[in-house]
Amino acid sequence: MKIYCAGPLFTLCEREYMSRCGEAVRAARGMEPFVPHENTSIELPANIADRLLELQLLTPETLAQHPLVDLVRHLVQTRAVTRKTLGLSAGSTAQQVFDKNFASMVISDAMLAVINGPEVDDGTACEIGIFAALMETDPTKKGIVAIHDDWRTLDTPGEGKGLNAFVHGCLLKSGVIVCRLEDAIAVLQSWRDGKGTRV
Amino acid sequence: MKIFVAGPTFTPHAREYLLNNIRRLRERGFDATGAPDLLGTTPQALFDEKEAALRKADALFVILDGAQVDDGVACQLGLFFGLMLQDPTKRGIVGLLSDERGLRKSAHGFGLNLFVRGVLESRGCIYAHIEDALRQLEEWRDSSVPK
Repeated sequence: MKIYCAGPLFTLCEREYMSRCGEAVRAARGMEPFVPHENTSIELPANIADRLLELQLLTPETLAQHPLVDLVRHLVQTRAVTRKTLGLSAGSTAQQVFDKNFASMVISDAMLAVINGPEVDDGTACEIGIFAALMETDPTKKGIVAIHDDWRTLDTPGEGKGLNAFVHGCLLKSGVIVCRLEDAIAVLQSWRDGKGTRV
Repeated sequence: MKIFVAGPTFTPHAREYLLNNIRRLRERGFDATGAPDLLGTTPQALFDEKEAALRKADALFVILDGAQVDDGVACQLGLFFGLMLQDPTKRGIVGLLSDERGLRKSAHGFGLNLFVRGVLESRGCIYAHIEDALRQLEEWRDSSVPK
């Protein structure tokens, strides 16, 4: 069963948590995660490391310490080098990110969405809406399980303004909301085993 | 042409802005809807109401302002994109962005979330001025071939 892992991935902390979600999915029998930041949209030419060394944009030490794809992304984003110079595809980064992630959503059987934050990350919220629509035409899709353990958006008094009602309604219609990663995995396992009913 | 207007509606000014945009669209002959969220409505009822309106709409007019696109608005954007895949008569998505933080990055995707921008580039356009957004909608309305 293919699981699309959606969530914020802008900080090291967020990426680590999304990777942990991916590992937990991978550790479960018969489940294969798609974690967007682990599937970069940058298709790297075979000789790119040599080219970067030649241009003196990287040192062998830096290359040994960090994933090549992260280094390339940083160099492009900081405009130290152009995509053209590196022989990367010309489509906008946004289009490439969208194309790759959407293609994965289409073939995924379920979505695991991390909805923590003062509001749900907009990319994640958008992905939830798309997956909910895809579920209508693809009866093999099981649903969306959302991990929600941020007190700012839990229904508790005090700090925070609660979960957006439209996103909340969408999740109640298309899936379930749980507090812990372990519970999310249990839901996915029940869908995998056909024990849980499609929402 | 039916247009659903999606945007943040959490403050009086945001609601007024949304309603003003609906009014502008109606003045140009569009059948525009997009009621502000109602306090006391359950999430299920609110979702059902807006989903039904999105399903009927030919195009989505979406307000992209804010430190990020409002999460409810982003979810509506995603849902409408998914509905467009089911219904080829739907014309597209027009994003309006007047947020100074985004306009400073207009040459670089308005600082939008890459996935959200990818959806908009795939099935719509982003404009900084309401007149440009209205022109795009009029173009869709007046063209016989769905985008």
